[in-house]
Amino acid sequence: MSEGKFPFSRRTFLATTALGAATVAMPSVLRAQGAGVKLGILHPVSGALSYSGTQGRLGATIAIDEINAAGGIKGLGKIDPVLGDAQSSAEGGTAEVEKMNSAGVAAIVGGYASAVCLAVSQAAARYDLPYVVDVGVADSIVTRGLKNTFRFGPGFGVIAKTALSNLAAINDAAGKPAKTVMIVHEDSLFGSGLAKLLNAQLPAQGFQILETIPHPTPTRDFNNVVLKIKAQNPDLVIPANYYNEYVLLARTMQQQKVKPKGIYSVLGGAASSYKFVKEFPEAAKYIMDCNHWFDPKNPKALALKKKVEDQGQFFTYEVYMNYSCVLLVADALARAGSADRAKVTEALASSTFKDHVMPYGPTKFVNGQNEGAAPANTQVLDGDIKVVLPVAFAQAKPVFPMPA
Amino acid sequence: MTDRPLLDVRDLHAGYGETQVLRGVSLDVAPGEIVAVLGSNGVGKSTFNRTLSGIVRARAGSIQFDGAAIEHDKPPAIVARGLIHVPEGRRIFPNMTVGENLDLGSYRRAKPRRAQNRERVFGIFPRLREREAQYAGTLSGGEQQMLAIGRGLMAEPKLIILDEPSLGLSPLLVEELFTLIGRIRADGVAILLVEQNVVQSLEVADRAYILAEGTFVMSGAASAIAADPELKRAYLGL
Amino acid sequence: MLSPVILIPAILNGLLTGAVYALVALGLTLIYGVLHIINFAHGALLSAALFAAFFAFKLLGLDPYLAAFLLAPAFFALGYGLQRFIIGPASRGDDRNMLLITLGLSVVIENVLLYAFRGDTRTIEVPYAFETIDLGFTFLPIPRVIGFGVVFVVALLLWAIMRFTDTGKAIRAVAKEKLGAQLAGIDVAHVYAMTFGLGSACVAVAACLLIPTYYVNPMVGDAFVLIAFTIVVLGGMGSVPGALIGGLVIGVVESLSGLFLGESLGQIGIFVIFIAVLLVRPTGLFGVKA
Ligand SMILES: Nc1ncnc2c1ncn2[C@@H]1O[C@H](COP(=O)(O)OP(=O)(O)O)[C@@H](O)[C@H]1O
Ligand SMILES: [Mg+2]
Repeated sequence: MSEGKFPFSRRTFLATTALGAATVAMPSVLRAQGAGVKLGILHPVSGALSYSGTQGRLGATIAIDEINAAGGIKGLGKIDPVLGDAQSSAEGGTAEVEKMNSAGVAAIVGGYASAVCLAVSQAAARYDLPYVVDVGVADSIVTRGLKNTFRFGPGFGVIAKTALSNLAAINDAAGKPAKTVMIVHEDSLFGSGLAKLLNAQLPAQGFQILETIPHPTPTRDFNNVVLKIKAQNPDLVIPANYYNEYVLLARTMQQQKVKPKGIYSVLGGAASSYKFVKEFPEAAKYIMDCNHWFDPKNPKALALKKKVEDQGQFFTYEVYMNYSCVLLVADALARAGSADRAKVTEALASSTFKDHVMPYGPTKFVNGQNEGAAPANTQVLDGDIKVVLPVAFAQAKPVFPMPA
Repeated sequence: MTDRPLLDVRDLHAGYGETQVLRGVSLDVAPGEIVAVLGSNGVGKSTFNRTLSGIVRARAGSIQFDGAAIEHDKPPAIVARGLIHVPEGRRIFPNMTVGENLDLGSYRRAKPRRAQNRERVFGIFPRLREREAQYAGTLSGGEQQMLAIGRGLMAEPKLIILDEPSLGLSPLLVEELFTLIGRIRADGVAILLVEQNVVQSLEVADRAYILAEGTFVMSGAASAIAADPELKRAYLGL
Repeated sequence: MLSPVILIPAILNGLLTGAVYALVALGLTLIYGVLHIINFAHGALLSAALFAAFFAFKLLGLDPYLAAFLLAPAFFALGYGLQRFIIGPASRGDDRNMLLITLGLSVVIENVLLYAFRGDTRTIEVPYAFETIDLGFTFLPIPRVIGFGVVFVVALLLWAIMRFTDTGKAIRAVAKEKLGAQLAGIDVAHVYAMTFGLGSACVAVAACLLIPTYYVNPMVGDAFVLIAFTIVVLGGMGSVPGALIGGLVIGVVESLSGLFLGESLGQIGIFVIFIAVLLVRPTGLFGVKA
């Protein structure tokens, strides 16, 4: 997690009511070739998730501007973005889908939080409106059989699995210096779910879990947690929490001079936040994370990074994931040769899109999930964030254990 | 009596919400005079006092004090002019010491002479000096009443309104209180004395007004009213 | 777990944290004691003050501890103005309305902050943020030790104002005897506003103490105010020493229950105390019976 809230919420698994057969066939808007195509860009740009939402919108609009500057989509013309605000709630997302549908968009990109994505995918399904999830990692988003819903990025299950096997790989490569683990997790669905998973899987990988410490969000003080860590002195600390608490935990560990052999997080580390690394370089040193990340060897990704940073913004995953998703949709539109929703859905389902900025394998949608999507392992090295795994994309070897 | 009254109330109307309590009352007090306002319970004596001190808004009529119209003034401005109201129930500050209570008497007026006025008050009420550092809430009823009056005197009032000062005091203390009222007047302070204790009030007052049904039904020299048994029976329940 | 190696540092942490809670509670209890309302805008004001301290540092390069000298008067003025020109007049003479107006105000302030600064969480980096005092068995973070000291200086200052100045005496007078105060020539609207101003100034100082090691976002104040409210009830509604002692007690309770019950349940200790106080001693530790 880069900023603010994690795209997961209490509602995530509540909003999975089966979709009825209420799919109304809408007459597709006939439009002259090259007259332009409307694309819904939907993010929570106000409310608690507004920072992430705004970052997502930034990535999407950069992609649209680039496509339009290059003459638009072949045969269809320029993309006309219809910007929507999900107001950080599922209801807000649903309302925006209604508006975008009336506005005649060819597809919708965005959602960010799982709860919003779940609601948006259902609302869009009613109009057979193709919807590309930008971030939302809840597995249920793509397991409900909605034909219109596509997720380009990895889901929670894949991320957690990759995180575990990469951890074992890093430890094995270093000669298994880490044997004991403490897990510090936030106590809602995301952190608890992850902690449960780790508790089930880590022992099989040869790790002994000394203690699992849950904490609420927000937590104002991590001194006690750090005292416990200090007293038990684990080799590895695995935090699974949101940005604010992550920052406090890392800073408190630095303050109390607690230095385990490694700090390894899943979907939440400083190692995937340029902001944290910039603001707290000392506390961030050597932290590892398994999270969404861009392909550092892709020139297009680096150009985008420069563009975003030149605007004074942090290059967060919301930016490049939305950027990639818009390119994916544009490619599908070009292949469909029309804004017809059924054709666009068809084109997305059969996509083998390569021109994105993510460290993914070949694009292949199975039941709406991109099978090529995977998280990357990063580590804070030399004041920068470096990809350390998968090897194909790695810029550096993991430094583990952390030097004293 | 001097020619110009210190307090001159004309045709005053006041009340609470729908309730009209005062329906055109007029009264005057000369400098240094003691005027008693008498009347049975609930006729509006305290309401009259509150209207004079700006706590209750005058709905009609005029209040002239020391040559200025004050019927639209707020309480702090009225205090600043030297019209001080010592309310029914004392209303001292129980969480503060006797000394602090007296200090606040000169919050708005006569502040530069706080120390010397405090001595003056201690001169009148020696008990307060003994209790200076004690919390006011721990004082006896009589001492609290003295403190309330003392706090009023700290502002160097031109006119002091005493609302039921003898309420709840033992007969001995009531006796002492009326003696002190005489002493305060001797310092040149005019007194508007609101009392249920009719006999003693009429003894100490120069003039008296009788309030009934929203107006003053009778006024005159205290001695004349005291001598009229008919009047006392009709309005004062004696 | 019971070893002194953890226990003593945990208690010390609790005391240091509790001191800042106490300062927030001090503002709340002051306003309650005089205006007899729970100031629902207290949390929003704390968020606003944290933003102010943040920008004082980012834009003016002002160290938070120096910024306190600027922000305390500024928030005093802000609080004074809010009460005098918005809350007071809008309540139309009925004090109970003030409660609802502060509630509305908190919504407005939070949304203005959200609109202006988005939900983004911000932090500042001061060189001393990670400095610690080495006690041998534990490290005490210097910013928190400073915070602890400042809270007591502020409390002492407040006590002196209340004790020795006419304004302070007027505030105490209005708190217990409004009519008596009016008749002594005290302008109650002014005193209410002064009190609200002092309460807001406490919040501003608390913000300056927090920002070196804490973060700010538009909702950050809410978490503190819930705790502060518990402290106010524990210490006795309106009691200044109660807020101080209550703050330290709650800090230690939170720390220890966090240690024994886990951070998720740590807050339970606080609310158990809250309910116990309401049952056993509704007036709080230092409260006087009505
Ligand atoms: N604050 C108030 N609101 C409404 N009615 C009041 C209020 N105070 C007094 N009253 C009413 O006004 C009338 C006069 O009361 P008051 O002035 O206290 O009488 P007195 O002092 O002569 O006993 C009474 O009927 C009383 O019930
Ligand atoms: Mg009366």
